[in-house]
Amino acid sequence: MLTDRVKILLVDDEARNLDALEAILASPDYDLVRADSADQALLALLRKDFAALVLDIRMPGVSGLELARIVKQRKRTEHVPILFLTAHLLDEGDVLQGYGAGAVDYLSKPVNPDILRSKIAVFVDLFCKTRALAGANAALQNEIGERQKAQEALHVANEALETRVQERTADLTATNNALRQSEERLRDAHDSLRLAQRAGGGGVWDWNVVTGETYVSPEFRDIYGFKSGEPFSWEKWLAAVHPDEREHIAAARRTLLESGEEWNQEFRIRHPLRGERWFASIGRLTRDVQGRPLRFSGISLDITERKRTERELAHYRDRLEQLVGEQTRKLQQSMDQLRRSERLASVGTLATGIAHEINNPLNAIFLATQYGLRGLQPVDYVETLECIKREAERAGQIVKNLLRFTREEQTSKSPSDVNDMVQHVAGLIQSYLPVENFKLDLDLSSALPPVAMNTTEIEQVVVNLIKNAVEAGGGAVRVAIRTAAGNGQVTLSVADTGPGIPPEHQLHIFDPFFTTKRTSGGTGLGLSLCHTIVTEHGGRIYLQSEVGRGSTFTIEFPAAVLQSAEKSGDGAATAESGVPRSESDYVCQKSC
Amino acid sequence: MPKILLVDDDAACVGFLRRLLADCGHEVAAFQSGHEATAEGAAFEPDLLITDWLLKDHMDGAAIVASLRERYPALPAIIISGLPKESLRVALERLGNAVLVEKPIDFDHLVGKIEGVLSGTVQAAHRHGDNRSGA
Repeated sequence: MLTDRVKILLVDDEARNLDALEAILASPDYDLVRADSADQALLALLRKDFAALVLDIRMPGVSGLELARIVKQRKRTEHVPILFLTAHLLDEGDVLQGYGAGAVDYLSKPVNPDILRSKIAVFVDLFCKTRALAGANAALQNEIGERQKAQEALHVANEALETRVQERTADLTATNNALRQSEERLRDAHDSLRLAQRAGGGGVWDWNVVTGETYVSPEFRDIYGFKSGEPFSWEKWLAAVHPDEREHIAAARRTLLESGEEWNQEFRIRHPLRGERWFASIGRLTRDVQGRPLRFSGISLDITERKRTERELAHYRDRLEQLVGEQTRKLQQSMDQLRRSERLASVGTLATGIAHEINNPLNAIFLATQYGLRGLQPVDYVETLECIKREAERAGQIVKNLLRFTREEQTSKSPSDVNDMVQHVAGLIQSYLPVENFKLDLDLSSALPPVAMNTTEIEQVVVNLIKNAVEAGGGAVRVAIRTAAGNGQVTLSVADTGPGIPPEHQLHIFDPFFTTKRTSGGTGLGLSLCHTIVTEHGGRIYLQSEVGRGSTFTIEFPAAVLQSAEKSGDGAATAESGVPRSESDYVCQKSC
Repeated sequence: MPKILLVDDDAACVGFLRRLLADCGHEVAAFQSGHEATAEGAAFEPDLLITDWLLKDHMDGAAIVASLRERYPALPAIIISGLPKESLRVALERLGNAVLVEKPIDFDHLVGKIEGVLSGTVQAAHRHGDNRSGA
């Protein structure tokens, strides 16, 4: 900017004066602007910045003085230095007016060119310096602005930093508190560990495998019998282990260090004062990422008392099991006896009928022999003897049936036809129960699968149910036995037309020793035994009864199934025909 | 000759008893079911009924006696049974004019009873009589 040519405004109403001024001031450094009136001068002043204004005081129209005043009044031009030119050298009044109007200096015409040039040079120099100062000032202002911005940014950053410092301080305080609490807890834990060691008869160890440093607690030393001052070593520890177990424990420790992680051993040690003790040693080996052992720590516990208790417990348990076994055997014997007694009790009830039934063949034999002995007529001996033989066999069969019913317990079950069993019981009951108006109806399903059963026991169940119906019914009783098959089951029901069983008795009807006929000799075991026997056959027995409308006992047996039907070549045909090939082909469904 | 109506469902018993009674000179009509005996026995005009107590067709001795006495009210009866006499005592008292002979039957004892009943020396004819004296 400073390299620009400095502008100087020359104002005079006479062109030759302007020419003269131009000639005097002509310089490559100056841009001389001519104005022949105040108006032109003002116009130029509006457009450009001038370093100096050379002004003729006397001009027509707006005079030089007035122009000077206008220039000084305008903000933009107030600092432009004005050099008046006056023709009247000694006109002091003009000079004073000129200064009052804002002139900086004046020259009298005719103008001395050197003085004009030097004065102008001073103005130009001043202008240039002022302009340079203004530039420097602007730069300075700019610098100040930048600095303020930087300061603000610094302030913001400072505040942020402050906040972070506060936060961090708070964090540190919290961490510090936590640390203090942890330390307290650690101390508590340490105390607890110490207590636990004392209470449990245990001691802890912590072996740094890398450095070889080993910490063992005072309790550890105590239970092993190591002196408190002595340095600990694993060799010493191994030496404390019972000789019988030393090799095994050493091997276990080697294995642990090579590839193990969990340490759990029980062994005996020899304590210098307490003698042989049982120890449990429980620990853990930690390893680095490469799997090298780092630390091995854990606890040793004196479990001598526990071992002794365990031994005693095992002894008592064995003894208890033995006692239970004995009692179970006795109970089983009692149960077997009970069942037999119950059957014999049934026989007692049936005794009259049995006597009656045996008396018939005996009667025939007796009469036949009396007839034969009389010899009144030519006797047909063969016919008589055959009759005697037949009747004796009949009596024998009755006795055989009776013995079959009262024989010792048979524990085995074999596939049997329920209908056959019912028929047999019907034969036994119908002839042996000498009751007026007793009627037994059979409604037997023709296609029953066999049932794995102990026929003696099941016969006892059915006899019991019928006997109960007869005894409860008083005189006129109608009992219906029905059989049916379905859903892999065989159902047998014994229904009577008796008085029925009240609901409060129904609940206890299968309970042992529950009876409503104590005075007439009921043991209260009949139905309980029925229940036991049926349950042992994998079946169930239940009662439906309504007072005044009779009772129905229903037994559901699982049907026996052919197990090996498909294994043999003719198995399919056998299975279809439903004919068992042998008893061993059957198994009870429940046990499959 | 006294006419005896004999009922028992046991074939051997009926067979031998009929023959023994016939040998003693009695005229005997024998049946093996209560229904046959009551249906056909009335025409036989019996002097004495000898019947089993329990019969397979569920018409027992009491029913047979009752049925025949509708026509012959004074018909005496001898009940033969394998049941113990205690169990039949009340039933026989209710029936009246009936005595019990237990099985197995001693024929001589039966003959004695028959003679007694027919001659009236055995007092079985009264409802409240003591039947045990004839046993």
